[in-house]
Amino acid sequence: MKLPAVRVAPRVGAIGWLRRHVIATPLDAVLASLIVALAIYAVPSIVRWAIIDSVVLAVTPGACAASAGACWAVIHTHIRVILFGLYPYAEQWRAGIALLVVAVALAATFVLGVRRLRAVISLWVAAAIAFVVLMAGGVFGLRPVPTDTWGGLPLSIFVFIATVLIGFPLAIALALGRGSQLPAVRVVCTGAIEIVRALPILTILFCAAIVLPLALPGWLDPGKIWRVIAALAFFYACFQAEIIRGGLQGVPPGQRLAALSLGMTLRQTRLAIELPQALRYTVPATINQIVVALKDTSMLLVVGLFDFLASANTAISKDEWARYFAELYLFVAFVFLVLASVLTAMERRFVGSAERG
Amino acid sequence: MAEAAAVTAVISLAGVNKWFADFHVLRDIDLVVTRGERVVFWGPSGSGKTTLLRALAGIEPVQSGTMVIAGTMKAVGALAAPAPTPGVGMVFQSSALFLNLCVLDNLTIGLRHVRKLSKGEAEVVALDNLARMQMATFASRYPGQLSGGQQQRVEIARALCMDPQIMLFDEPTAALDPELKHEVFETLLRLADEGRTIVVATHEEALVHALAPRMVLMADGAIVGESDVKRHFVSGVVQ
Repeated sequence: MKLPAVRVAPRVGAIGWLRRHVIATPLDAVLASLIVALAIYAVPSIVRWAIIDSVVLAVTPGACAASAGACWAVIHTHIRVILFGLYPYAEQWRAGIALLVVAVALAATFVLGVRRLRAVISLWVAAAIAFVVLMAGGVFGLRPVPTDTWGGLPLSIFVFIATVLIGFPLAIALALGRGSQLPAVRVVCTGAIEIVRALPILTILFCAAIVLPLALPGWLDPGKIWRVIAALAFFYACFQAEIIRGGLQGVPPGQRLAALSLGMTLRQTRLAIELPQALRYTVPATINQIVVALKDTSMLLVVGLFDFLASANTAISKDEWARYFAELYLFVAFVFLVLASVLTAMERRFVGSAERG
Repeated sequence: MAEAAAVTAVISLAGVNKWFADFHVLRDIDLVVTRGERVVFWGPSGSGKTTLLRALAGIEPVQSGTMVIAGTMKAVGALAAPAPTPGVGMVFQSSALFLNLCVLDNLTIGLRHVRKLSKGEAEVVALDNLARMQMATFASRYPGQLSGGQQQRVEIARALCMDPQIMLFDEPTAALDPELKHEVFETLLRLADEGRTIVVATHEEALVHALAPRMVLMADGAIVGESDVKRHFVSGVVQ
């Protein structure tokens, strides 16, 4: 086979840069031209719509109707409903602080990093308790707010964090159980994972929200939001368990032999040697699954819970701002993008410190 | 002679057999090793040296035979799960330091989980053993930050923490540069001088010359004879 001749492009100047990076081959040149043409066509109209002709400060939709641009005013005029849904208006400051608690916990996680895993876990348990106290009330003179009226971003974030906090330990248990030497444990864990993975998430949510109350006696029913969280946590755990199992298989077999040769038991070896390594190998896949869990919270609407997306929808659906849904969806998308980016940044932070070890 | 051996025997195997599926990896192994002896398992790759070492360490179950190791009756008949032998330390062919733990924790984990020492007590023992291997200054490093020779010294220190009567080495020089090999020879001799029983699987001729051990010759999973350095290499019989 003949090797392609190496073309030496000039190394300096804008033209040199262009030749090396943009039009190095004929195909590159064609693609570059197409992209430039598309940009010339699209960028100005997007900029005109989103910035130049947009209306940011307005209190009535009339001001927007007069303009051809984006009506960003729809966001700040409805922000309380978008963010907090049906949560009682007078108590929404509590929901705001609850969001702040999560933001602080995120920042602290970032600072602490994976080396102080125990501190990070206790931090999140504390944050979750503070969050529930603020949102639910009933203590410290806070007016009780039933979970039926929780909504918006705090609801989405609460369900998301609860899903991961409950689902992750469950995933570890399922992954270890699937590799157990006890046949009964192995069969139950494998069966649970295989069955739950095969079901669509909507089916599981409907079962938790509608079918389960028919099967459970009233006194055993923790309330819809908890049933839904349990379902989402189990769903998440079954996927996460397979990720962890993959990580366990990736741990070099010498590690187990070395631990056994020191006299450690199989259980000690699993928990103290293999599992920590498996969890580190699987940080990228784990963050991936956590982002999926975050986005799955927008499924809550189908069982009558007003998550962030549903609250945003509800905020304008019945009034004269309804035609500005595009701006609203862009805002919702932007918030999800920010949240997912935080998780990705977390991955970089965690993988970084894992590689040092 | 036989009675004297029985009194001081630290390893005695009788009729040990092991199969991996249909593959007969250990065939009717009979072996007696006395306290303080230096033994080399000598044979080509695949002759069963590593498997025999692992069986002695109790991390590889065998299907039949009797093993009495460091005073512990190990196996009569089938053995399902690995049951580590107390009093036996093993150093592996490729580094088997725990990758998630720093050097110090690599040593303390066994002390804490198996010997049930407190964190402080374990660290004293660990640092003492690291110092013996000239590795105390590396206590807070991670395995990936050490050279092959350093990793091996930490691994030896880790095994010594459990104060084993018997030290097993699987190809201890295989992963090392020539100049580091002499360091390993010296370490092995030092351990032998301390009165420990040393069992080494190797096909490194220089190591056998340095250690001047009793040579147990292996082929196809069986012990085919015994020799020593003089007889073996002077007579020109290799294997």
